[in-house]
Amino acid sequence: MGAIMSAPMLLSYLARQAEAAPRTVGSSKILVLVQLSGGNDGLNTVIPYTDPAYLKLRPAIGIKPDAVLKLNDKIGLNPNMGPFQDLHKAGKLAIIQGVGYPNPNRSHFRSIEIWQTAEPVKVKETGWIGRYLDLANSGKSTADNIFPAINVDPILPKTLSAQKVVVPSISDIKNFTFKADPRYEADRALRLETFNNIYQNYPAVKANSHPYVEELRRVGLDTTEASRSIAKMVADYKSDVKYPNNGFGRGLQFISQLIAGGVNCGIYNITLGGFDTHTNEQRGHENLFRTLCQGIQAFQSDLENHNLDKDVIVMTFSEFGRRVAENGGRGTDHGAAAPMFVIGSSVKGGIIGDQPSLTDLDDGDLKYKIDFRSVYATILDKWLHADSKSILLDKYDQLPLFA
Amino acid sequence: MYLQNNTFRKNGLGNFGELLLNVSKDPAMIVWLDNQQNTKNKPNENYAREVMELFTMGIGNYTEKDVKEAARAFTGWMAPNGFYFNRKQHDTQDKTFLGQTGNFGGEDIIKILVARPETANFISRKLICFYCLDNPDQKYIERIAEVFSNSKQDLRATLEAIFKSPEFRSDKAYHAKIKSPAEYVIGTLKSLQVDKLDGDLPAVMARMGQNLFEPPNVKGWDGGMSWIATDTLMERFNFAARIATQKFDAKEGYINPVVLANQFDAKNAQDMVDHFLDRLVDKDVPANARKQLLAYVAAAAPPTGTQSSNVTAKLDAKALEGKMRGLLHLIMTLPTYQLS
Repeated sequence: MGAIMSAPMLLSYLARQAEAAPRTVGSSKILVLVQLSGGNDGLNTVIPYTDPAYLKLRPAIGIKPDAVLKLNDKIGLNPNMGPFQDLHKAGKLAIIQGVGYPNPNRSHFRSIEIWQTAEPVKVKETGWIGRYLDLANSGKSTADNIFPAINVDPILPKTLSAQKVVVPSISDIKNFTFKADPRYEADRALRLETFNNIYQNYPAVKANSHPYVEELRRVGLDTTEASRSIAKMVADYKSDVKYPNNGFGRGLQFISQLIAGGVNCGIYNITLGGFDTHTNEQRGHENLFRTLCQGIQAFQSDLENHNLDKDVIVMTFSEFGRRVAENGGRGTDHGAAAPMFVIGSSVKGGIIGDQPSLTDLDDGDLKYKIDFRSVYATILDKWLHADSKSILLDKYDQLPLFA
Repeated sequence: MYLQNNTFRKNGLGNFGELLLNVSKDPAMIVWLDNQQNTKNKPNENYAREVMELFTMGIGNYTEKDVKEAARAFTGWMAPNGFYFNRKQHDTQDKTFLGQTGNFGGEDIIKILVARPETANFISRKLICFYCLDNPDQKYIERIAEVFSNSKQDLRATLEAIFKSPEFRSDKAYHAKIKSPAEYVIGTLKSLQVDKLDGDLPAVMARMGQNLFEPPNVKGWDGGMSWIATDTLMERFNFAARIATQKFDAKEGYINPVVLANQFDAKNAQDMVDHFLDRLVDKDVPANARKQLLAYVAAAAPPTGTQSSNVTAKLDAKALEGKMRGLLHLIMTLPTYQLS
């Protein structure tokens, strides 16, 4: 959308949009990113319940062995993660243990940025998925490219920050339409046309100023175009699956609706917040894990019912795990390495890597075993069929995430 | 949160050290950043980290050891019902913090932090970014930071230096910031003389990405392009449509397009477009935008059915009203209208 279009060009462009073919089953791969904001405590998520150090370091908030949902004779899941135990049994859940990066940063804001940009050393403006999108969409016409990715949150995360493509954020389909006085539809159409004509050609007036005008213009155009084409595609979605009745559940259902509607989009992003459990962690986790696991299980079932499950995987990540020892408030402070989950019918279920030692620590924190960029590289190369080296700027070990 | 807001209003133009101390002892901060759980035997690092990262020096200017030592100094700061220092839970051993050693309490940590040159830079940068422009250059920041330090962290003097700086009046700072949702919504109501405040305005701002009194995290809103995504922008467009469309009734205090037009003696399409571009966006729009708006106002279209492409033809009252509403809506959707 960088080029300026004249009005006749715009009209033909919109006409092409209306005819853009929907995505067909099996034609491409879809990645759903679930950001767990706040820094999820990995040790009370995937629990090393037989390690005596675990309950010793966590006398108040440690989960007792009989309550743990056991996955094998060493590790198990938090008692509120029943649906993930089922997914594990069905071979649709991969757990990657001890994921982190060198010299971990314990600031929420810097560490999430590191995860989003895949660059631990210096601040980078583009996200790892943003760089993938720039490469994957180069040479494609904008008409085929209106949804390079969809962010199902009000704020666009740096993960999706790209240089060449605009990623729309849509969290509420009802309000996502260009409104005007409902009594005069012709006037609404004229306003919308005027809006588009203005936005097609809106150069900054003063040179050396207006740093935001061009970006506003691009996002603005994307806003009306996305709303136009999306409303049509999601109209026929039907589902009997019950999602958790909260923002995260509705967001996942919306993603499922978009996929089932044939929206041509390969990347979705959604966030679940509240993982900064400095106090009363067990109570906080109870709600969080129910929402997370029931939501993802519903999403998986919904996709299976629509025969789309083989095309989609879900990956969870968080800015950091937490300190091994609990604090005085029945919670945990900011730490380092933690497990990640990858879910889907095409995923090779199981446990990848070993639980880092609870006693050989780095300043009170777990030492990471698997670099998070190995997970990204595997997904980029094996799932999205991209070239991870040109996106992550280095080669990382591949993990056995897919059969 | 109400008390905290009062603290900000009371100390906002005073001394930064006092502001920081008062905010640190404010129950909202103590509860939200878990200092109630920060005890002698089990320190909680939450506030110790954020006070350095977000409120004073910024990231990269302290070590993990400093975080732990500062946490010990803040032990015992609680707020069961207003601020309370729980002596029994305070760690009275020596702490070594940013190279200084002593039996520090929370007040000492704040004093040390306030006097740091990194804090002068960090706060000056924040104030410049809020009031003037994003991404200021280092020299400008340092000039303001010098005022901050020389005035013993006086915020009024620091702000005065920003407002009097040549940068503040430069082209570079002109329409160089994106309005926050609160600025967009409240600014619109003020400039269009809307007196009636609907009860759901906070919810509207929340959908635009700013839920007042409920920032997404302790860092607050990032501002800049983070306000602008397709759905938050659509919210802005639709708020503009709603304000422009709502029924007018002088007694109810909603906008009355005819009254507004009469204030400017706007009789035809050209008057209307030029007056309102001036009033709402300081005429800061490219020629094409003006041309398109003129075409819209002059076009024969419902609701008026007026047949005229003459932009200087006199509009009758009904046409004036219908087109004014559409025009106001469209001006408020312009890229420039998102800027301050």
